[in-house]
Amino acid sequence: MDDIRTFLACLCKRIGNASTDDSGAREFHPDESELFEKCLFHQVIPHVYLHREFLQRTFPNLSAAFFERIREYTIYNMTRIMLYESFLKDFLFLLDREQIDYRILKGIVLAYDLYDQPYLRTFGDIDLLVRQEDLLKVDAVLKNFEFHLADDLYSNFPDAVTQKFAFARHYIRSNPADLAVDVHLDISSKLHPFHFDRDDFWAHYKEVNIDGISCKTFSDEYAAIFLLYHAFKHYYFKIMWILDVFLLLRRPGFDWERYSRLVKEYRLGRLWSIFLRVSLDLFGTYPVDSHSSAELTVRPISKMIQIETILEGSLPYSPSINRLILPLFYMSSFQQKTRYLWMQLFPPLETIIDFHMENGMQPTLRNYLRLRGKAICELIAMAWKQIVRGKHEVL
Amino acid sequence: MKCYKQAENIECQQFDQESILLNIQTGIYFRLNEMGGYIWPLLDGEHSIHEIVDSIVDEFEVSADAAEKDFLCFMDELLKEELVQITKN
Repeated sequence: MDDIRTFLACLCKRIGNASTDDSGAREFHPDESELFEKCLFHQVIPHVYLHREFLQRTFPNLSAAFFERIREYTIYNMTRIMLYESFLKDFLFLLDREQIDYRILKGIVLAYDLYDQPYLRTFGDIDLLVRQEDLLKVDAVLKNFEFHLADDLYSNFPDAVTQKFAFARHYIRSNPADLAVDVHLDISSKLHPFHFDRDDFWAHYKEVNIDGISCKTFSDEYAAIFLLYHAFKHYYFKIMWILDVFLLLRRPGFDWERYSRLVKEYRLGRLWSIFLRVSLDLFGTYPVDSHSSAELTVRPISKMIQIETILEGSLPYSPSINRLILPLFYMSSFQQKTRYLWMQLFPPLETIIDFHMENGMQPTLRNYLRLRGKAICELIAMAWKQIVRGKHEVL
Repeated sequence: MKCYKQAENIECQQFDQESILLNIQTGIYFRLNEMGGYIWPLLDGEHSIHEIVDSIVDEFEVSADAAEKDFLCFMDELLKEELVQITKN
């Protein structure tokens, strides 16, 4: 794993234009299959392709077959983008005809608007934000393109619950060509630790040109806030998500005053601080100059969010414990943390069908209380282990 | 006069030395080498086989016989994959 971390760290420094150690070849004997999988996890394979000459020089032990595999995947990714671009043209035309207003988030707009070449940004679906009153019309348009609702986590919830908690609706199409569209009614689920004013984001938009078609998305400062939140939302970190924010912040003309105001307004100071620290460790540089970052302090961050953990793409604890614990480090106020912890330990009854019930269990109140009791015991056990480990380290 | 024309729903994109042909209906894609990428835009249903072969001879400095043989072989493959169709101009 050390070799893989070395490789990814070197790649990130190169992407960030930091002064990389280009002095010569390094001793390097990774499991190439594992290395490929890690690059795939972090969604940076096209960047490996872009910087292949530098990486081949730095890591001469890497085989030609590895780089050929990287090239194959990069071409595959490019064809995916071409497919989505072709679909988007027809899709936006129909949205316009049906007078459905929308914002496209992340993926395809970043590929065309933020990166030098669209193929550098990988994505698996189109994220579409619409108004609740347009949901049925959007559903009809997608069905017209032969999409259907995926049988996933959210499909078991009644529509009323999906709308109340702002869960995304995942549409897929497998024939013709595989495509997916996530329809969002809000920027964050009501169960997430941060909540945003949807109308504020909606009002601040810009139009991006995707091969001749105009596509509405958030303005850069609002997109940066959304991406900052998104990068940490899943409780594990992908280099690509962190890179999105990093590149957006470096854009000429980025309005720092507005961005700083939004960070404060949405109480993202701690998250921002973590991001700055991670950027420095990952890319070897801050995304902002000292003048711009002066207003936003960089504080030490938790040992649980370290660069090694991020590069490994592994979580410090089990997924459920991570979901509970990691966001607490992003929040600055005690009240925010308490509210979040309470929401996680005692989630609303309507949402327990999938999130908190084990397979085959009926969503009864008795089972709900049993599972909550189990979760709390796990939490106490984990906290106890931490305390004991802490004592050992002190001794 | 027999001509070749690109099939509908095929997108082409350059990638380094290669051209990538994508059937946007099926998602299946094909990779063309430099010569294939050069020929592809000429398959517009307007250029005759002789015009294309002459163009290949000029561009790649190969004999007319070799160019024609390679071109027809390439067209057979594209027809098999339904990437082109034959038209009469």
